Amino acid sequence: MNLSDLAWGIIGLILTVMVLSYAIGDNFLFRLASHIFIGLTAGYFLVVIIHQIVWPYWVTPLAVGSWGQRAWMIIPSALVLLLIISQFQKFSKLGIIPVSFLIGVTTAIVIGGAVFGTLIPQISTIVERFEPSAWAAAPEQTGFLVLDAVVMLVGVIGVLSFFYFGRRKIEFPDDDQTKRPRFFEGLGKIGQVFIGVTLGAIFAGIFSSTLWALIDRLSFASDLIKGLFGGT
Amino acid sequence: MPVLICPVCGAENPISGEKCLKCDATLDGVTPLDAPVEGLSGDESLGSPTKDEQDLPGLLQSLKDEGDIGEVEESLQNGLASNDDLSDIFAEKEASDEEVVPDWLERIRQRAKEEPDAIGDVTQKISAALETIADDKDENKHDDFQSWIENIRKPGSAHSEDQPANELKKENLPSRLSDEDWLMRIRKAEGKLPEGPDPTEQKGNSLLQWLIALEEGRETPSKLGDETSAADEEGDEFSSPITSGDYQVVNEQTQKIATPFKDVLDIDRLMVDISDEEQEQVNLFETVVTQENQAGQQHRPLRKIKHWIWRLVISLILISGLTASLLVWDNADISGAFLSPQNAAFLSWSEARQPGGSLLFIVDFQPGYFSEIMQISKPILGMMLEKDMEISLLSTTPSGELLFENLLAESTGEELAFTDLGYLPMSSLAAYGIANHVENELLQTPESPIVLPAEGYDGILLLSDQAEDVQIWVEQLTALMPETQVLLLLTSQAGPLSLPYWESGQVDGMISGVVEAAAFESAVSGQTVSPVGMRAYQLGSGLMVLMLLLGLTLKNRPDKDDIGEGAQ
Repeated sequence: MNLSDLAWGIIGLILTVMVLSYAIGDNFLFRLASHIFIGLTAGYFLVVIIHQIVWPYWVTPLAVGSWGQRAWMIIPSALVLLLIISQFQKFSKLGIIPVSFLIGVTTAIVIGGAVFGTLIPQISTIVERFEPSAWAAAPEQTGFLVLDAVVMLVGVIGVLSFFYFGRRKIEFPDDDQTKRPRFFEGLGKIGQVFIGVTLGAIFAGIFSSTLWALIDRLSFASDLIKGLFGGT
Repeated sequence: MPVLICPVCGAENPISGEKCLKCDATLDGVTPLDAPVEGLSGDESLGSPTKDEQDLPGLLQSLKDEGDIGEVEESLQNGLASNDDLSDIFAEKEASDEEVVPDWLERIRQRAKEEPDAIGDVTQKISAALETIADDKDENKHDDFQSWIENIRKPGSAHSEDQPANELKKENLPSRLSDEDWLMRIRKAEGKLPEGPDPTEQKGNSLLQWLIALEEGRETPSKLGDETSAADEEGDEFSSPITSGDYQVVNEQTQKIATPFKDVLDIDRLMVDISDEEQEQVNLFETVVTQENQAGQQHRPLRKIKHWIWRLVISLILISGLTASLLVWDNADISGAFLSPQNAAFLSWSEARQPGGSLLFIVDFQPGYFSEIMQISKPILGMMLEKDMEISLLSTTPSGELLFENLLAESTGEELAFTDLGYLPMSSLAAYGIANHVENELLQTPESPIVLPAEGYDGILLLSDQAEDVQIWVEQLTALMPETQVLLLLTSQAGPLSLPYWESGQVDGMISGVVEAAAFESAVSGQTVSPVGMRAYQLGSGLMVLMLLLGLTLKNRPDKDDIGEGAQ
């Protein structure tokens, strides 16, 4: 372990301990470490943005690009200019134009992707599960495939029913107006089971990832300490 | 001479009348009173004051509405014969209303002839009101109450700026407001005005005590009005049954709000009328707030210490247990782990790659998950580098390039060259750009980092820690580049919600979490794999399950402190 590695290792260990001190509650050490990380991240982010976005995609085309490229750069340049001058209170409304452009483009992309990349493929998957030719292709697994398809269909309908918030038709004055129709109420109960299983899986995944991050830090600390005291 | 005063409008009616001459309200049960001939000023004998008469435009409007404007104007002419404006304004009304002259007006005229000063108050008020109307017609500024107030303050209007505010207020208001109220006369006559000690003398009373007295009948809301009136006469601006000290704060706040209206409005009549039910709610609320404050102050430090101790103990157990497992125990053997279908598909895809192909790695994870991603991608990177694949990198996190460099160095033990396509913020736009092969010549310069191969990639491998980002990438890539194979290398937290894309066939292979990665590595190498930290991972998972079970067991056990509070 050379001197540089040792110095950075000790700094890393100190920062790790400062962050882990949050286990006993919010304190000065944790806040100090947080501020250091935020400051470093902001500075690094600025450099990356200038080096990888502003310079190659904006400055270079304007400086050394063809006339067509320069003309093409008028649009982003105008949007950037509007965004900058909108920081002055007198021209604050001009910021609406670039922000609207950005939100509009992003929304269009996301909606298009959600429809053609998630909704349609997922619906097709559920339908294809009931295709008899797929069952016939694996005769020894037909029972399992049918069960799999039925469970998937019931899960989808149950979860959709759980999020159905229509009201029951009032037939008698003393009917509970807050309850959903019995059909959706029953399916919603089944949907709750699927939602619970899904949330449990997500929780387990999050815990697993964070636990591994903690183990990595402890492993780093133990390795450093072992190295400092003559270990391997 | 006794008269009947109308309880609705306050007009004087003959003793024999059954209905009010002014408003047709029934006079049954009204006690006759002596007509205030001597004691009342001229304007009081005009009849009943309405609410609107408390301000001058209201008075004028009232006169207009009631059709008496001509009569008043006629009386004004007697007192202000030289006022040409009056003649101009009311010229039309004069001719039509001359023949009908009520008794009270006749008396005024008679008194005006005999005593020129007898109608002084009326003259002043009508004069001011007519000036206001004249300004209204000229400048059209009095559409609302505020503009009318501003006009009063203007120099040259009815009152000059030199006049003190109190004088201005008194002068604008009908003089009877400072005298005995006509309503009070009715109450006195009907015996509804109770007599008793002046509550303003009850120094030190609290709001609650006063409310209790009100409930028990020792106080009445009507009495409060009288008391405030009496206090007004003494010049106490905010007098009430509650001591003036209690209202000091309210007074300061109210003055800020009422500043624009303080010249014309009386805000010194605060009346609180509450029911028995409201009184009970006041008592209950006060009791709850008091007890809550006392209980919170007593138990808060104790609870805080308890929580702090619990957090410390749990943290120490977890950290010391994990550290001990790292230092003491050997790594776990997970060679028997089950290779799931998505892992097997990934393995098949990896083995099917031909040497010399091209791969695009998309780095979309935070540095905190580097160790997990490294464990997952290590066997894949090793396989791809063995086949001499050309590797390109595109990152959507600022530190993506550094992370990938470290990833290659950790996985292969040496620094390898790769094509860096740069950093693109916003996953959705980056995915759309890649999927559309950003090949517009106008956007490409010699220094532009993104130059995609014309024949496309053999595969796109996404390294991510968020299911939402995975969704965006898969949606765009599979919708716009259906022919390109997409594979996922994910952390455990991104795995569950990304699995449907494998089920739907949009993704060609997937590995999520260190357990699947170890199983994959074991399958690739055909040897027992013991990843560093796996034993600690198993111990940590076991501790978490234990804590969840303890939490479920202790969940419904109430705190002793809470039991004590409930008993109190």
